[in-house]
Amino acid sequence: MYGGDEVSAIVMDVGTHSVKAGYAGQDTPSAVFSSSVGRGTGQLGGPSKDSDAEMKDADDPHDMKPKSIQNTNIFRKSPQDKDFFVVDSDNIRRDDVEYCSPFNADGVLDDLDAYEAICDHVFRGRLCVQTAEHPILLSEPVLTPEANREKIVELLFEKYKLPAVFLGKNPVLSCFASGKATGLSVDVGGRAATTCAVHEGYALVKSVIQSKALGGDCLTETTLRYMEEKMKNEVKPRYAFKKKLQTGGKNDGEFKIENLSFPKTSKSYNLLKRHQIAEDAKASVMRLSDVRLDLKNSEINQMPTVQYELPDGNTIEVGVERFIVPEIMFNPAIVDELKLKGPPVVDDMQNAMSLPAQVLASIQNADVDARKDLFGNVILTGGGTMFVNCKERLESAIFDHAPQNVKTKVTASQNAVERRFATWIGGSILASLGSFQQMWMSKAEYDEYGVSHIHKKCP
Amino acid sequence: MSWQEMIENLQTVALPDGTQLGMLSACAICDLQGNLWGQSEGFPGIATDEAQKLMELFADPFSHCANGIYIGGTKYVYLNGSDEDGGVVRGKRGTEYGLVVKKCKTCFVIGIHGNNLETRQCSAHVEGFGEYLVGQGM
Repeated sequence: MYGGDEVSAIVMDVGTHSVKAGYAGQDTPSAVFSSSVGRGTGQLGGPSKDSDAEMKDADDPHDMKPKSIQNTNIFRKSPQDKDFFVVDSDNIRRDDVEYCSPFNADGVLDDLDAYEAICDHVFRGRLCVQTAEHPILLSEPVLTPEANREKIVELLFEKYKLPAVFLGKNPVLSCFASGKATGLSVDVGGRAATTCAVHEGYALVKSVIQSKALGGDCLTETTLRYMEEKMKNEVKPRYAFKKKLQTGGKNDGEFKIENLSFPKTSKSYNLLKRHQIAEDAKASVMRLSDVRLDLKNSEINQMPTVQYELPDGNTIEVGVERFIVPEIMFNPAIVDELKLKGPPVVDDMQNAMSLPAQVLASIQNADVDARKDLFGNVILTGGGTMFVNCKERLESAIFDHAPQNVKTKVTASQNAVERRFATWIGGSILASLGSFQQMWMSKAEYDEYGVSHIHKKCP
Repeated sequence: MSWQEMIENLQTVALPDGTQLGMLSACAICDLQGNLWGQSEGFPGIATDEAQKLMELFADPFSHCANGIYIGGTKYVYLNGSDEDGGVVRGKRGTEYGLVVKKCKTCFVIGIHGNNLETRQCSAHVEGFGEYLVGQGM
């Protein structure tokens, strides 16, 4: 149907933390940006020229008039609606804009307006394509309800006039990225850690287990709260201060911090920016210990502290806590040791399943004959697994609990890019296979059978 | 239309626009207790207790999925599907063989495919066929 050589398919992976998009056949996505979308709440102005351009585009989505790059971050459905701002490399702080994720609390994509804004930004802002010419492969979480899938497919066919669409399940695509058709995919993403068994290229839907307490966002929030309690003050986001170089006098050459006040900035934007700082702290300071963390062991308590400098110049000294935060993935009850005040980041976090327990439970829910292959092919993906020692810890934990003669092996790419973008890379591989080209759901099938045909084509 | 003609229609897998994709390696239509109404040449047969287990699987996949699906003594790994997911259950055996069972009002439509087809393609075809039967009142 669609020759894999002639027209490149687009592969798009909308995750809970970031959106990855690019062309099939390439080894990394060309567009990666945060999946938080801002929604204007007040009366946003802007010159009438820009709003005219937006209106015309709303009528004719695939008309490629040249637009200045600044406009593509702004999306407006119709003149009466509010603007949407996609958080890309623009670090522009705007008044009265609430930031939200297109995913709801359970990790299900149900905010279609925000999703539309993201699609617009990907197609017209970053990739600059005529959507009528490229089939698109989307990745989706395993437990997406049927109604949501239908809404997304309808949006793509009706608004963007795509020639063909395919919805691939996340665990299947991450297995393909490691070159395997069978395996247990362990994906630690932003919102949650998801384990799912994949057999011969099909996800075993009843083996999916999702845990919000082990997701990257939860650990970031824990890090943020820990830092703020230690400093007894809120972490200052970058827009809230400016550094002024002083000349002359005794402070010559040093920077002075001046606070800026923007009272109309929404709380969600403030939280988003503070999270970005905490993410950086988590990545540079926190690490997993080599063996199971035992706080009574005096060796751990004598480890030297590490300093982390925040953007506004304050420094934090982190001691044994740098091992506690990542240990939450293997022993969720340890979060109590941080003695954080206030409600827990995720409800009932202390009693959540640890990552190895989740892996074992997923395998138990799969077919008895398939289990041996699953133990030997545990595939670790997702940005949340980038802690040093993650693969070794998981391997030894599973080995302890696996049945006797079964070989256990955890596969994890050493390359940071490959691990973070494994789902996207799997989609890129799949969409460029010759044998895949018959699997697309085409526009003709959509017109003939309606949107519910997608469930037959992409079970 | 006789049952044999129906089986022949079922066995040829084609896209809705008419493009021929291939043949199922075996297929059958049987009632919910396992009594066959029509079958193709290579069909391994279905026992009464296998049909019984199929009914249980459709109703409650979580409890029975680990045991797999048995048709004619051969075991298929259960992939997905249940009563709620459109009344279809899909399974795979090894890399080559796949199984799709569509539950209509009074019968099962069973399709087994080999290396020439993907389980997805087989599934779309068998489901469409089953929906036609449901429309006819079966």
